[in-house]
This record gives sequence, C-alpha cells and structure tokens, in this order.
Amino acid sequence: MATNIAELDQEKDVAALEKESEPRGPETIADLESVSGQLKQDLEKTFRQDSLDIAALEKAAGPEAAPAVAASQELEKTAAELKEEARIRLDAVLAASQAAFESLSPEEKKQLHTTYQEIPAEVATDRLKKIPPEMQGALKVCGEVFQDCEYPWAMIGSNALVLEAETEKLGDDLDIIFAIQDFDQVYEKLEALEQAGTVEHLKVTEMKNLAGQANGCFKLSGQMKSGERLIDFEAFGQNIDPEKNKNGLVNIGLDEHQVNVYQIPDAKGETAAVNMMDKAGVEKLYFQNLLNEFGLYDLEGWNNRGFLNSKAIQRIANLQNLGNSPEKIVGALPEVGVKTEKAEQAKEVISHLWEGIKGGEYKGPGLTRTLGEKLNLPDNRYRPEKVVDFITKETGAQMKSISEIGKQAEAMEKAAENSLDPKALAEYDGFLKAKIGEVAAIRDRYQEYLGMTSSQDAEADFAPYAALIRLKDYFAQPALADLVVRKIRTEEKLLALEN
Amino acid sequence: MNMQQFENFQPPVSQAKHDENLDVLKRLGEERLAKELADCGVVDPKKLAEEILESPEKEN
Repeated sequence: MATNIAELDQEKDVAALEKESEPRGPETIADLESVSGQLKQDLEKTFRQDSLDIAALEKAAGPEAAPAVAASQELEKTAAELKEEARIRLDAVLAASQAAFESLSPEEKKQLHTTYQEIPAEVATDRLKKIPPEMQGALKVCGEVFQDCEYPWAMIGSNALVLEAETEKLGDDLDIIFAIQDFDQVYEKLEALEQAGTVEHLKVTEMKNLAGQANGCFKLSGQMKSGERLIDFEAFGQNIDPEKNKNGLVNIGLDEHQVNVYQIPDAKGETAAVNMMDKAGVEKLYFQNLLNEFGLYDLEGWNNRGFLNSKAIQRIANLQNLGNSPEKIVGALPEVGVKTEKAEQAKEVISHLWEGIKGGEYKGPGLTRTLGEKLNLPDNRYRPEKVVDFITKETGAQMKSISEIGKQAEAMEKAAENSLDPKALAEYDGFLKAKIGEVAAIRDRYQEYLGMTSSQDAEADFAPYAALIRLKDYFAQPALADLVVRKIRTEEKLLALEN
Repeated sequence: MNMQQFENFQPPVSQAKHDENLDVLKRLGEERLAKELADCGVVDPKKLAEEILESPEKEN
C-alpha cells in the first residue's frame, strides 16, 4: 500500500486502466446515484434556475448606470443583445403555440386543462381566517393583476396549501403560475403597479433547464407592498402547448387541474376573485417537485441546487399535512408522471429511504419526539412540521458554513500552491486541522440526530430522516474527505521543504 | 422560510473531486485516515474513517 500521495499519483495510471476495464452502466440505486454526470442532460424541466435577468440588464444599460456602461461598451452591447434575444425567444414560443390556440374560443382558452370551482362565501371566510390580512391584501392585488388573463392562472404553494391542509404553516411569499401567452399584459399591469408604488423591484427572468437551454418559460418577480409588509412574489409564465406535449398550466406533467375561486378582501373590504390551485393540484405539484428535487440529491445536485435539502424535507412534510402517510406517499410514487430519468430514479430512492427507517433498524427515542420536547413544542399533529422547520434552519446554516470553509480552503490552497514559505503552508495546515474538527462536529450532529431516530415513530421521523441521512453522506462527509486530502498534501509539502 | 438564503450554496466538492479524494484515501487506508482525523481532534476517528470510506449509498 502506498504511504503518501506522491506514490499514489504514480499508481493512478494503473488504477485508471483498471477502471476502464470495469463494466459500464448503472445497475443499482447506488450506481445510479453516483452517475451524476447524467444530471445536466436528464433534467429537462425546472423553474428555479435564474439565468437572464432582463430588468437588471436593462438597468445596467440604462441611463442610471451610464458611467459603468460607458466604461464597458461591450457590456452594454451584450446586455442589449441578450435582452433582444430573450424577446425573440419569447416571441418564438408564442408563435409556436399560436396555431394550437388560434382555433380556441375565449371560453375554451379559459378552460384549457382547467375547471373552476367558486368557493361559497361562508366556506371562504372560514378558510381565509388562516391567512393574515396583509397577505390577503397582496392576494387580492394578484387577483386584479391576473383577472384579465385569457388563459388559466392560479396561486400555488403555501397560500394555496393552507386553505385545504391541516397545517399551521403560513405562506410568506406569493407563487403564481400563468400561461406564457398572457405574459405581456401581466407584465404591463405589474409595471403600472411598480410605477404606482405597490410593486417594487420588478424583474423578468428567462428560465433555463439545467442543461442551460431556454425552456420557453419566463418569470416575473419582485415584491408587493401590502400594509407594512413587502411580500416577495414569483409569477411563472408557463410554456403551455396542448398540441405538442399535452401539458396544462403546470407544465411538468399535470394535465388537468381544478382551480378554486375565492373572493379575497383587502383592508378596505374591497374584494377580487383569486384563483387557488386546489388540494389535488397542490399535492401533484409537491409530488413532482419532491421527485425532481430528490433526483438532484447527489454531489452534482448540491452544485446545482444546494438549497434542495430544505425544500425536499419540506415537501414530505407538506404531503403529510395534506393527509398522506409516508406509506401512502411511497405507494403513490409509481403513478407520478415525471419527465427525467433522475426523477424516475428518485422514486426508488425515496421508497428505499422509507424502507430504511420503518424496517426496525433505528432504535432511538424518536427524533421528532426528542426535539419536540427539547423545543417545548406541543405534542400534536403540528409537531413534526415544526421540528422540520427547526432542522431545516439548523442544517441550512451548517451547509452555508461548510460551503464557506470549502471556498476558504480553495483560496488558501491557491495562494499556497507555489509557495515555498513553510510559514504560509503551516498556517494553511493549521486552518485545515481546525476546519476538519468543525465539519466533523457538524457531521456528528447529524449522526446524533440519526441516533435519535426511531423506526417505531417512523411516520413522524421520516421527513427529517430522509434529508439528514443524505446531508451527512453527500455533503458533510465529502467535505471532510476533501479537507483531509488537502491536509495530507500540505503536510507532505511541508515535510519536503524541511528535508 | 426564505429559500433565497439557500440558493447560493456551492457544494464542498464536485462528484469527480470526491471520487478522486476517496480513491486517495482508500489507497492510504482506514488507519491512516483515522490518524489524520485524530490529529484534528475528532472524537471517534476510527468510526468516522470507516464511514467516510464506506460507499455513501450504503444506507440508501
């Protein structure tokens, strides 16, 4: 066995040849998980990858940014070109679907893949009690912005979920989906609201998939002023084309959906009709997002979607809040339509995780129970959700910390790369030792949580367990391995200098 | 919660880099890895070394 990295490097060529002769192609989930290079080709649809911020580009090229633009004419040109190209692509999307839509009557357009249910005033009043007045005011503004859309639109996410789910979790932002065909008129209304001061920081973003290809979707985002609050909003202009892919408004595979129409009042008591995706639609979206996000749950996935740990952990909690047991969630997965190989594989991964926790291997006192008691959370149906919130915040901060350590190590290594200064190398070595200790402590924390996990309380523990185990294996431990290798290399250098 | 705060994460290492690191550590051996971890004050270096060198997919 080699005793140092220099010797290992000599062995590397032999190892590479051995690897070449190994059979190719994934055969198991474990194999599939490691084939992360496939990721970028596989993921066809996603709505969270911002790529072209037209408004920002516009600003960069506008008079307020004149000195910067003057300093870089090329930037101005590029920004203008990019903006123009994005507009050309948007027009191309609209033109491509024109033939499919021009024969439809206004009624048929409105009902494309969509049925509407007016919610009676007494039911609406009761359900809306869960939503704070300022959020209701913002929802009413959304109703006014989208009311003239020719095609279906709906609020999705927590605000839609809270109306029909057993949850105390309130939405803190506004998520809307609408047809790209209505883009221009929605943009004009939001622009008018921006001029009136109700909307701030209005932006247009062309969406791309992970392969970096424009997918025909454009996002409008910004902040909406309601009372004392500034509420973030994201309105996704979806590329629907009934002829091409039979997709409805939610173009990741949901064909038909019901929209519940609520009359929502503002502070003055004036109301507007607001479309809320119904429970079944919200549920289908969560299922699809869960699979897409778990499909990205490997090292390359962290690269592309580092925030997914918190997202995915919450999807499971959201689905449970809609009355689905983990058994039911796993049982429903085979029927969920997904468009990528990775997301298809995620079905197996999630089933496997559920088998892992319910199989009896975990004999702790219960993760949700233990943390619930420590945090003085009432022992009721909302406890798992609150524990998920707690863990999400903690792991989020730790992920950030580990990422920072990685960046610092990279920068220090570059600085010390060609250094023959033992002092600089010793300093870098000291940094690595300290950080290995820190990351190991974070990793041990996840291990500790896993030790609390109980197979007997599998239902309550499933959501945090599913994310923690992957965070430990795919984030903390690879970070540790990297720091240790850096440490060994640095110490070898130091030793060589001493000799 | 505000998801924006999570969107700027970079992974500590890429898959390719991790494969390379694991290759190096496996060749140096579990004992050496445990020694390096102990050198950094890790509480149970032997157990951690064992886990790092195991396939991360083991539990999944």
